[in-house]
Order: sequence, then C-alpha cells, then structure tokens
Amino acid sequence: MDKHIFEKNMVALKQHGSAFFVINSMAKQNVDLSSYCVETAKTNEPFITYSESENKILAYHSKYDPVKEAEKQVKGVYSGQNHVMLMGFGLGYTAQNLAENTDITRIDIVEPDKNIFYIALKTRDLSKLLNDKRVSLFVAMTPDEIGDVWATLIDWTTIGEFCVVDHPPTLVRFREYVERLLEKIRYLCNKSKGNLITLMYSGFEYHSHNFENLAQAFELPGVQRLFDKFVGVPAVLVAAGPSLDKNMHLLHKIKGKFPIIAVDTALRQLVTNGIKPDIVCAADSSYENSLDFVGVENEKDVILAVEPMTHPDIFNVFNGQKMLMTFGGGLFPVYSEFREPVGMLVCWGSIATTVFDLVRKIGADPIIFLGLDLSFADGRLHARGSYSDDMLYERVNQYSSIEHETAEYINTRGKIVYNLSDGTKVYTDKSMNIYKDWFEDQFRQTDAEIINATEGGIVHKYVKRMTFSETIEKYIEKAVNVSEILTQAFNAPVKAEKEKLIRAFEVIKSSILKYQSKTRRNLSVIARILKTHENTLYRDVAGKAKAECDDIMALHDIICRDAILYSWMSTHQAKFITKHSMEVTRLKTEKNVTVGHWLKTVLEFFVAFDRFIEYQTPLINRAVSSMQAAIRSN
Amino acid sequence: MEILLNGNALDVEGINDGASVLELVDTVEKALKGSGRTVVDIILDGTWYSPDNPGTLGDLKITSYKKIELGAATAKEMVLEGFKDAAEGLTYLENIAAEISSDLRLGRVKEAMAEYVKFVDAIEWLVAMFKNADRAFAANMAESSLEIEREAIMKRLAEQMAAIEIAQVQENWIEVADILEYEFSEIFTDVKVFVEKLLRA
Repeated sequence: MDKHIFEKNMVALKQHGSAFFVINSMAKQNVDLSSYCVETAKTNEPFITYSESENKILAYHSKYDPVKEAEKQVKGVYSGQNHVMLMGFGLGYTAQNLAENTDITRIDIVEPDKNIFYIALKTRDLSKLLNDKRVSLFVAMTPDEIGDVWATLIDWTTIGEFCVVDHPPTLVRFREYVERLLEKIRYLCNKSKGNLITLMYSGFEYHSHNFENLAQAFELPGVQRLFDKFVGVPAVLVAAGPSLDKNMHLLHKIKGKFPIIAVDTALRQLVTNGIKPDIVCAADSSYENSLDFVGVENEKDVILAVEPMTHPDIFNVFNGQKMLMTFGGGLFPVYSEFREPVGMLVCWGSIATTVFDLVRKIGADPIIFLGLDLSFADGRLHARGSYSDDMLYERVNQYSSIEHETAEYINTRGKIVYNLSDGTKVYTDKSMNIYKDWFEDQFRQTDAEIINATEGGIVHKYVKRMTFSETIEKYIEKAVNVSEILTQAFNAPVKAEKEKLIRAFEVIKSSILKYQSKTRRNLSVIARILKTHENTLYRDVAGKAKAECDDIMALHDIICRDAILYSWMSTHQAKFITKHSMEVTRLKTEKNVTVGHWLKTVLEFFVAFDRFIEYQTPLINRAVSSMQAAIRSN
Repeated sequence: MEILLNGNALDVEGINDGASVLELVDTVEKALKGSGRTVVDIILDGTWYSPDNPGTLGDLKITSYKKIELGAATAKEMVLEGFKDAAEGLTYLENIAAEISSDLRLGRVKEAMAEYVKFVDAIEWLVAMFKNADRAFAANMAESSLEIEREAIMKRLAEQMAAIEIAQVQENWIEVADILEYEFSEIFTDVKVFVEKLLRA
C-alpha cells in the first residue's frame, strides 16, 4: 500500500463535507484488515477480496479488468438520472466512472464496511473523487444515520430522477443493511414528496396562520418545559382510531397516574365519555380540523399543545391552558432567540406522529398506544363522534345515511388489505399505510418500550401487543402525580421579549422593501437586455450587457440565499418555487443556455417575489400591531 | 398423407390409419436396424418434435397430419452435423455468458440465474459433442494433436464449470461473472479454432 496515496486521499477527505462522519467512523474502532486481501488484476489495477471464512471468499471487483467492469456497471444502470446512490464503494471504480463520465449532479456513496473504505484510501488515488462537491460519503453509518443525514441533503424537486446502483458483494455481505437502507430511502422519498404536495396545497395557509397566531403564540410556555419530566413513567397516547371505543373507558383507571396525551381528533370523544386528557395536541392548519374543538372549548383542565401554523380559530376559541410547540419552520427561526425554548417536535403528516414525539421527549416508558388502528374497523374511519363523522354528515341526503357515506368512503379508499394471523382481513388506505410504516420505523429506533393496546388495527412490528386492561395491571405501580408535575412545569412565568421581536420584524420589513425596489428596477433592465441579447449564448455575452446580467443574477442569488425571506417565499409560493428550482437546476447543467433562458427565468422569479411582498407586508404589519396591542394591554 | 424419411418418400407397411406417431417412429426404427441410424428429427406439418418425448408422440395420430418428415442419422453423422453447426452454437454461448456476467455485475442475481440454466444446457451440448467427437473424426484425431487438444478443452470446461459452482455456493457473483466473461470466452475461442481444424483435417 502506498503511503503517499493515503496522505493525498486524506488531504482531500479532510476538505470533504462528509469528512467528519467518515473519519469518525474509521476512528471509532481500529480497522481490522485480517480478512481482506488486495491483489493485482490483469490490467495492473488493484482489486480486493474478502474472506468471510476459509470457504467463503468474495471478490469485490473483477480480477481481470476492474475499470472496464465499472464502465459496464455504469452503462448498465445509468440512464440520465441526476442523483445516484452507490450501494457499496469497494475500491471506488464505479464511483469514479460515474463522476467522470456522466452529468450527474449528486452521487451518494454508501460503504457499510469501514475497512474496505480504509483500504481504498490506502490503495487508490481517490483525491479527485473526494474533492468532487457532488459526492456525499456514508461510510460505516447505520441505515438510520444515513437516512437522517441524507434527508437533510435531499433536493425534493429533483428526487424523481434518483437511482440506486447495487454492488453485488456488498449486497451479499450486508443484505439486511441494504434492504433496511432502501426501505429508509423509499420512506424518506415518500415523506419528502408528501411534504411537497402538502406544502403546495397548504403552504399559503401555514404561512398566514403563523403571522396571525404570532402575538398569542409568542407568549405561551413551551412544551420543552415538559421534556424529561416523566422519565420512566408510563404514558398513554390516545389516537382517534375506531378501536378507541373498545377501551377508552379504562382511561379512568389511570387518570392522574399516567399522563394521557391525545390527538385533537380524539378530544371530543374522550370528553363525551367523561375523560379529560392531560394534554391534547393540535397542529392542523385546516378549518375542518378546528371543528375538533367545537363543544370542548372550555375544557380548562386540559392543556392544548399547539403549533403556530394551526388554524387561528383553535387559538381563539379554546379557553383552556395552552403551551407552544414547534416543528421548526414558519416564524420560529425569527422569534426563537427572543423567548424561552419552545420544544421542537417531529411532524410527519399526522398529529399522532407529533404526539408520539412529545411522549417520547417527556421521557415516558413504556409508551402505550390506544386508538392507533391506522385502518378501518367495523365500517368506521375514526372513533364515534369525531369530526370525520361531521364531514360525512354533510354529504348525507334523503337517499343515503352516515353509514352509507362511510361505507362508500371506505370502499373507494380502503384498497390495501392486511390478512391478520387470526384469519381476519383489515382494510386501510394509502395514507394510513404510510403512517403505519413511519410508526414502525420510529418504534424500532425508540429506546422506550412501545405497547400497542389498541386492540385492533395493523401496527404489529416493534411493539408489544397487549390489552389495555393487562397493560394497566402490569404498570400501575409506576404511577406518579401527573397533575403536580404538569402544574409545576406550566406555572413558571414565560420569558418572551416582545419588543425585541417587533424590532426584528421592522428590520425584515425594511430589507423586504429594499429588495422589492431593486427587483422592480431590474424588471426594465431585463426587458431591455432581452430585446438585444435574447438569443446570445449566456457564456458569450460581453460588455455592459454582461455586467448587467451579472448584477441581475447576483440579486436573484442574494434573495435565494436570504434564509428567512426565501423560506417564507418557499412556503407561501411552494408551487412556483418548486418549478423555479427545477428550472435553475436544469439551466445550470445545460450547455448551450442563452441569455433569454436565464433572464426569463429570473424575470418570473422577480415577478413572483413582488407578488409575495405585496402579500407579505400586510401580514408583518398585522402581526406587529397585535404584539404592540398585547404590550399595551399588559 | 405424405411420409418422408431423409427427404425420400416412405411407404410404411403394417401401420394402420389410427396409429400414433410413436408407433410410426418405432416401425421406422425397426426397419433401420443394422444401418446404425436412428430417428433424430420428427417434423409434423412443419412443427419439430423430439424423438426423446414418447409421451407426446404417443398422443399424436398420424392421420392428423398432411406431411410427416422423419430424419434419421448415425451417431457419426449427428456429431459431424453438430460440429458443422458449432459456430452458431458457440455464438449463442458467448452471448448468453456475456448477458449473465453483465447481470451479475449489476446485482441482478435472479435474472442471471434464470439465464444460467440455459447456459448449462448449452455447455452440456458442447461437452456431449466433444465426448463423441471420435465417433465422427477418429481417423483425423488419431493422426494429429487434435485428440490432445480435445482432452485439454474438455478438462478446462470441467474445471471452469466446477469453479463456477464453488463461486455460486459462496455467492461470489463477481467471480462467477469473471469466469463467464473471461475464462469461458477464451475456451470458446479455442473451441472455434479446434472445430475449424477438425473439419479441415
């Protein structure tokens, strides 16, 4: 092995964005090279074999021509995708071929075996590949760790052009690992696409609600106060599945002893049955979801944990105690430094996912689920009396009934069937099936014991299934005084500096207006350049036009780099921003792009930005006025 | 109904109208006894049937066909024909080996193994030809180094098939791909040269 090559590779690796993970993974345990053998192929290139035992030897590359082999691998699977994940690195032949011979914009390299990667660094000059900004390295990380990092790097506008390149020996040695990672990637893709679609439909609502709720939300105590306050205490998470009717009456037995945390959809049923949950969570921005609180507005013993994007009606009508939680988006980056910690929770499409994260973060163990059917049961979608019944009632006419409308809903949506071990069949829809996957994935990663006491439904993996009655009997000895802990956490004064927040908004507003004036001025410049240079190749434009083009592009890039403004615009105009990002990515990779292509794309962006500002300014003004009014009333 | 044997009209006695194709073949083979020939091709109205499938042939009635063509050959003639068609067979083997190798390098093991069954069949055909080469070319082989070459090729074929089997058990797919792509490719080239020499000698 060549010392010089290793040093050269390490210099490149240390500059790489993933250096920390890679070097850390190789340092965690000393590398053990006893099972590996580097040999020379007939073309004089090195190749590696791994001996699992005396009788099992795996070749990582062709011993005849590893370079040609890599070429074939790339030709065999690559068909113009812009994002590739290599499921196995070996000595890096395939990765190098991909990087050198394709227009790919991102290469994710997964190598489960740190020893292999170490040998690769010692054996081959990979410095060019490691210096390549398109390359992300995932060496000796678990599938979950990879998923977590990968999700933060993902460009959801281009994920449709993603492909995975298998590496046979890696597949043989790490079959379960690869399957798990693929499952994770599939699941993250669904999540990203789901998020994008939700944002396209509801981004406008999220954004407006955040501003409308700001004055009230800013002064609420954060749910972070509850984190780790129930370590080792059993907690009950109440979802609104149809099986809740079977066992919710038993909640009386543990009220005040185990914290009961419910989704907003279950609140009305619980209250109707005489049970008051300790905390109920709400985060839905839709008006329909605010109907969950009709008739239960005055439940003063219940704490409402609420996200600021929630429909303002919920903030306004619910008269009980409230605490603030955040998903990290909206105005959180603006106000977080001016108040006590809020408490960041996960949101994965259903409020039950957020409640689960809260229960996990308060330290509860075991976590007991009720009503987590994620399937239809007894011809019903939810427990009796939820708002879904209200919505279906609206469809009822003289020729139908609520049962008829529910059955029709189930018949059209319930296309996924689970054959249970007792011989029964359970039907679910696509969305609930995705939630099921999410929960099971999270359960696997959660240290606390998970008990599914739903007594129905389709969630079976990584949980202990028990009846609620058995669960209570088993854990009742771990009871605590829930009310005392909650009161202590809730009653401390809230630290929130409204004046500072108002000043921050004034600064944002002034920069918005500055950008607006610049973009408007540039609209006429763009129109002028287009008249004379529309068909000129962008790389050939020169002189004054070049200087003006550079200024226009610079303004575009400055706005796109403004973390706050651009994220607001991305939420408020999700559809346009998605389309725009795809167009910019395309133009950056195309060879013969004209001035017209670029300036028309930027022109559309400036017009959209102007539209956004016209809408945005009144939102800021109203939020600031509400906060000023709150200061005056205090 | 027309019955032909090696292209010549055949008048079969002792066969009634309700007889099966199997009975016809049996009768013809009895008549061929002593000539060293056996029936190797059965073509019924243009469709080829294997003589090694008596079950099927027993169900087919001769009156159902307008034209029955039978082909008979000696072992020597069959081997000779086989060697004459070797180029085509070897091209098939080369293509299928390349396809399997390519699939294995991409991790498509299931697809590769489905094709591998065809490869093994074709290798068995090649081995059978080599084993019986002396039936057709005994004189040629005795007077040259061809016999030594034949044995060497057969040995290499056996060695590489055994190597594939070991690699397969170990799931060492890159090794299997290498053997198919490089080792067999060399053997097939040598087989082609051998066959040319044999036919020329």
